[in-house]
Amino acid sequence: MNGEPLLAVESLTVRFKTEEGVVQAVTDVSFDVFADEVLAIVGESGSGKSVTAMSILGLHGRSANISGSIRLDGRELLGLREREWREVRGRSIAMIFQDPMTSLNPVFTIGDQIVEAIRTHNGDVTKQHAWNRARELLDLVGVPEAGRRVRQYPHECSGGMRQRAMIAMAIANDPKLLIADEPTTALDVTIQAQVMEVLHDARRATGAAMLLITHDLGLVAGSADRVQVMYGGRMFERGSIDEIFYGSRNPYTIGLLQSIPRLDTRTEQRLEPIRGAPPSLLHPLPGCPFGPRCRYAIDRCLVEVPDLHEVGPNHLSRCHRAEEIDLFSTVEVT
Amino acid sequence: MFAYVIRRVLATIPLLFIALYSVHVGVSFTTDPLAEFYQCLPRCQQGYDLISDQYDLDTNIWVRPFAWFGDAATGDLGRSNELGQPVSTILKTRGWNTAQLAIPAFALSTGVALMLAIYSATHKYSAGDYALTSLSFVGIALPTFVVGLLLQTTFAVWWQDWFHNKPFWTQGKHADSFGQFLSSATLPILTLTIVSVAADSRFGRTAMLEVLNADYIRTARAKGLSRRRVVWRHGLRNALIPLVTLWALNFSILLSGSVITESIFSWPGLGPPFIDGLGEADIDLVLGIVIFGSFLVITFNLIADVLYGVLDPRIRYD
Amino acid sequence: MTETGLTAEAIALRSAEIRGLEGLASKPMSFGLLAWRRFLRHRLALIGAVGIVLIALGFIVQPWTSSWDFDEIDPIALGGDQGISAQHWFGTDDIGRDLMVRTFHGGRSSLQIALVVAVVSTLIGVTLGAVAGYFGGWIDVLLGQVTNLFLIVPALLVLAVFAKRWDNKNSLAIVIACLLWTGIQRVVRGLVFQIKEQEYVQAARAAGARPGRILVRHVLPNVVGPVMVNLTLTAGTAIALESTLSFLGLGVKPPTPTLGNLVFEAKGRIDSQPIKVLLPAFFIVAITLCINFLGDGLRDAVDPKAAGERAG
Repeated sequence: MNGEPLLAVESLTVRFKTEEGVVQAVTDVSFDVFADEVLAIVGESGSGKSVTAMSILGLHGRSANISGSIRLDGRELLGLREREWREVRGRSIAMIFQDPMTSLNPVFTIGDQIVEAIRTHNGDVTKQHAWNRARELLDLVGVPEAGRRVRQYPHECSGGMRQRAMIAMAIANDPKLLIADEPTTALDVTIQAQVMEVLHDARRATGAAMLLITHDLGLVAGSADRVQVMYGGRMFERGSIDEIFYGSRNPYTIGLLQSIPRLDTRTEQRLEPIRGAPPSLLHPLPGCPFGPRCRYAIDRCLVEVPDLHEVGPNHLSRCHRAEEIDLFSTVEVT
Repeated sequence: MFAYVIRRVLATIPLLFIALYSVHVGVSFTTDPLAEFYQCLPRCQQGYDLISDQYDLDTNIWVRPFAWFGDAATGDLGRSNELGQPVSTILKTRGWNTAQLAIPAFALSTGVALMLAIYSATHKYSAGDYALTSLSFVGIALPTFVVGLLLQTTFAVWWQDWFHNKPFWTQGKHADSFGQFLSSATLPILTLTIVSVAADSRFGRTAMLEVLNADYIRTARAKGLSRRRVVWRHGLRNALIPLVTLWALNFSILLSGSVITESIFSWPGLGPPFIDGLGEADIDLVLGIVIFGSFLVITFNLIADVLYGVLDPRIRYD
Repeated sequence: MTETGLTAEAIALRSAEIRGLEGLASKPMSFGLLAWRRFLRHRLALIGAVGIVLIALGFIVQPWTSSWDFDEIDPIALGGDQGISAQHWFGTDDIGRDLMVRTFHGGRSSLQIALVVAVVSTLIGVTLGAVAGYFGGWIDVLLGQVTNLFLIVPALLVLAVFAKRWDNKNSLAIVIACLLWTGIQRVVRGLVFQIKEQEYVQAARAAGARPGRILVRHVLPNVVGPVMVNLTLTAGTAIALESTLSFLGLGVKPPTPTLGNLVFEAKGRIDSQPIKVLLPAFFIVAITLCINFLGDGLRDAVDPKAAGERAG
């Protein structure tokens, strides 16, 4: 974590105009991604993590009101014209989506789609060359019989293979940053580990940094260097893997950690779910978004949004009681 | 691919046969060419026998179709008593007239509807989209004959009152020159086109929207593809699949629409003889037209099925 | 920043982050309530509903407001073809019958037919769909072919043939209904297939519940929505079909007026007295529009995923 960050997001706020009103999807989110690291953004549905990811590639449309700053290698991305965005997408930054069945075009072969990714950004590459490269990439991501597979359609491949193809497509142009939005959610558990490994291999082969978006804390543990937890469109905690998993100072994160089933949980112990439901992004309540569900909430929590407290050298937590709370604390529960 | 086509053809043949058979029985069941003879028997026994013989009325109604099919296979479709010509001749000459309306209308409506659908879907919720959607909504509510009558009145009466000339013929087909042909065919073709476009563009818009909302469109954008490429290569290619089904249906609509339009504009196609034939129990003519029409529609559906397989690899390999 | 952005609403709406959230923090609303709210918001549907009610009421109430009967010939209007006058608000037809009365009477007939068509065709479709979906196997295949058959033959031509024979109001309605059931049959079949596979249904069957009970208890509630939409839209199609048939001289014959055959009668004199054609035609279009608005709104209320089809 030295030097300038590869990606610097500052005070990102995203609002959507919808039929029902204005949705505050993301509010004042800031983070950095450094070259050659993996930053995981964790949150449940509605936390704003996917919206954040898509903002980095400018994939939102007219109905989105985006403010703040997103800088890649020092270059400001927000406000780019469509033509300029197109040079970034699929080249400097590449994205892998959640469901490879629906994310790949069913009427074109896998090879077609990878070749398209290659030739869009390298106009002078011949078709022959591109197809060879596509085969190489499929090999790289561990697809057996790549030569045959490259001419197949998505529906002829298994889920894991499709996701590998997506990864191959994403790294085709040696991106500096890979954004993986829930890359394993749509896959069988047994395949998940394999795909994550492929993802890491791909990352190492290209030297790219990775932004891993997921709701699965378990996935994060084996994959990320740093973790950022989001809730209700806001950043709630950020730190290194160890700091978050063993030294969390945020009630929401702690709640998440306690609700994960673990192999060493004793059978009589109950899983602790977080009661309540996620907040409405349409009518945000004043105060901390997690307030109504928080075991440690005090009056102040329902009135005032907490600032980010620095609870460690690179460890931030948004909580009024951040200093008092930790995983093993016996702080009064209200 | 070849196997798929064979399968579709094999599946269609029994359907075709049952359809045509049912139509034949239906027509025989509902028309009674002997109706006018009951009153005058036994005086007109000769005429009675003649008709009876011509239409095989002594044979059981369920058996008659086979004789008809047998004759049809050799090209003999019977004779129209009202028009005094063999049915096959009528189908050829008047059928060609109908085609002169139907084919341009099909091409025009398909093209226009597609353009409108793409525009609407890519400019969703814009003023243009709103206007187009409203127009198509109104268009759908207008039955073909209303559109035809409106066009006819406008150009037969009102335009003349205002502008003192008559740019289009409102009755009959005039083909002394190509220009004349155009001016007499325009209104009927326009009628057919308007009706089709109204329905098509709405369906097309929905199909296009559904496609544009798909995940793979998002992926395509994330790859850095230009908007045009995303819409035309990734979007349209997928939207063509449901659209093809629509075009086959369209054909069926055009067939029915032609009957109405020809009636209004006195166009010498197959429509007016069909209606008259029903009234006069001119069985061979009616049978010829209806069966021919059904055959065409079923064939078109088969073509659509095959196109389906060409466009969507998922179907091909099932 | 970015320009038109194809997937603006798409991405926004599809991302689960936004979709699942409306109202989660407030009181949970039942599906029925949500559907009702959506429907209310759909102003056009409201206009459609109000419109059709007004029109229907107008048709029904009319006999009490006018002094003429629909087939009563006004002896004073000798020679017929009267224009607008005090006694005859829209003039008379060619043999002296009041046009407005006939139009409204025709409107009643047309609406009647449309209603019967909608109900009968939906009944047929739902039944066949349930049978095909529930029993599957060869029954389903057979019914599938039958459905295909009905879908494929050119509607008007076939209708013309059969309508000739059965041309009084109710028989015609049933003939038309026999052609329009395919849409709802497919929908119901699909639904039954889907539901049949659900675990709670399998559990019910394992517990010994009879097919009838399962159909009623589990399938029916899911079918109500599409059925309502289908009823409405089929009625609209029926109006168009019936009026087209009558316009061609097939279908319902005079003196029983329907909107369609009123146009048929008047089309000869469209040049000199267009009102005679325009009045019934106007009602045909108005009724169809209102029904379409209503049906669209219903469909949107019942299945929000079809939102892209809305009129705007």
